[in-house]
Amino acid sequence: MPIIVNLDVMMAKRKMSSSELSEKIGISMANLSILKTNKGKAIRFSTLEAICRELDCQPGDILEYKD
Amino acid sequence: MKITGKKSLGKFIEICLILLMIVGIIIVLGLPYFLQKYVELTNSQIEYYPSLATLYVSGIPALIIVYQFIKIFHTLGEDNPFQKSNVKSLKIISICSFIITIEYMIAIFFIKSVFSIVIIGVFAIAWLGGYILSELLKKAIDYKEENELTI
Repeated sequence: MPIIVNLDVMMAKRKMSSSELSEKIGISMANLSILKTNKGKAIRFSTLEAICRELDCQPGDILEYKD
Repeated sequence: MKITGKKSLGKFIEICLILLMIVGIIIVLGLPYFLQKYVELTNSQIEYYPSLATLYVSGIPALIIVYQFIKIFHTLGEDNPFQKSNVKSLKIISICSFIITIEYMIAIFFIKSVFSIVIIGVFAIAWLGGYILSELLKKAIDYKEENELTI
């Protein structure tokens, strides 16, 4: 998968736990875990928006393209 | 009309399928006896062993088809019909129908009966229909997976 989700790096920077983040953005822990382990196939803009808002970052900070 | 759950058409269908399965097993197991009786009662001029072989080759795939239907219906009752196992079941149904179609296409030269043509027609439709439905289900599973992994 060339698109990599670096969510855990950003979460570590903001010192936020998975359960806290999942509660704040309103998705289940299971789905957040899918996202963090790069098993997801797509991400909704609304989810991305919520993550960026809560972690105070840009989409580029959590998504990375690798060839 | 409700198909699944209690007090619905589903229970009736399930009972019908299981009855079909039981009757089917009894008939297949007792084929030599039943055919003997049929020959005695009707005095027909059929050849015993070729007829027996024909009936066995069509009877066993038919039983497998009924069994697969029971399996598919069971997953429907569990409210989770979009499974890889159902794709396989439909493929097996398609293959079994194909076997019966081919068998009766050969048998029609020996058993000169209108019913052979009807059987060929019905099972040819089941063969193609089963194949198309299995492909359809495969696509549906792909969509479901994609949808579930969109977060």
